[in-house]
Amino acid sequence: MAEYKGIERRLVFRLLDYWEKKKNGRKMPALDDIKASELGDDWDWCFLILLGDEGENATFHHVGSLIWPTDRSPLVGKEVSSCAEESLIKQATRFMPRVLELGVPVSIGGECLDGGDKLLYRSTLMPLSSDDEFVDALFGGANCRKVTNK
Amino acid sequence: MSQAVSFEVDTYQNNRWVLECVLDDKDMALSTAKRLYDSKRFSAVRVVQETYDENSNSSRERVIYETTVADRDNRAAKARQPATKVNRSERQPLKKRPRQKTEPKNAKKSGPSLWVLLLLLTIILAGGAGLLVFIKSL
Repeated sequence: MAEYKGIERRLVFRLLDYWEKKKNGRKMPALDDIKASELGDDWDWCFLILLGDEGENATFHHVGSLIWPTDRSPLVGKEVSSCAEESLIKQATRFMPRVLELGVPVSIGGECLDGGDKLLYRSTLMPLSSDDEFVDALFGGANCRKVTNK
Repeated sequence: MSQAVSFEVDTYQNNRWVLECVLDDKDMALSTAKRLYDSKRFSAVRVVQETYDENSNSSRERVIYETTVADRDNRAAKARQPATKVNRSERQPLKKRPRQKTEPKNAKKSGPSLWVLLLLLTIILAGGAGLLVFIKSL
């Protein structure tokens, strides 16, 4: 089995640590607590999702340029369900229901196709709330490495 | 046999196990648990491996790592007892905010309608004009 240790895992650890630090005694941080300036280069591997109220569809608020290249049609403002099946962002968001069910960050890894390339990826999704009662956003991160056939 | 394995990282808070995060990688789960324990914010941490069998729709859990001062004593005591089910950590599903109710666009407003007001104005103007004519004729 191909290994994807190293940088992939460190990103997830950094993002989990950041989310934990931003909790400040609450169950989870708020969307406004997530700041690009504090995440530095990791911001390009991050994405933010607005969940909306009950019955509304989740939409992208931010998608890092290293997850979804800027030469593709922008995802910000678009529904999460509409993103391409064969893409890193699709894999990184498919376990949203699990995060909502458990109420805690979830991290998964695996293989996926994106733009014709086979990737090994690791992603994490973390819940956000503006009132510490209802979840209204998700903070995610994903990075990857191309699989080279030897 | 199709199985899905996940690793839950729990911390011990207020005399109960609380779920912190879930990972599908054992080494990452162990690292996360150790980092949480090293933060000195929790008296104990543990990693629970959950194996879900899709065929039988059942899951098995076992603690693969935990760290407290009393761990050694606990393990020795458990070894003398028959295997018991892992005490599940507390978890609460998250809810989205209920949809806000908005007023319908064509809400009926109270008070006289525009047409009634125009009619009254017409009557007043006509009455006024009639009075002027009458006064002129005198």
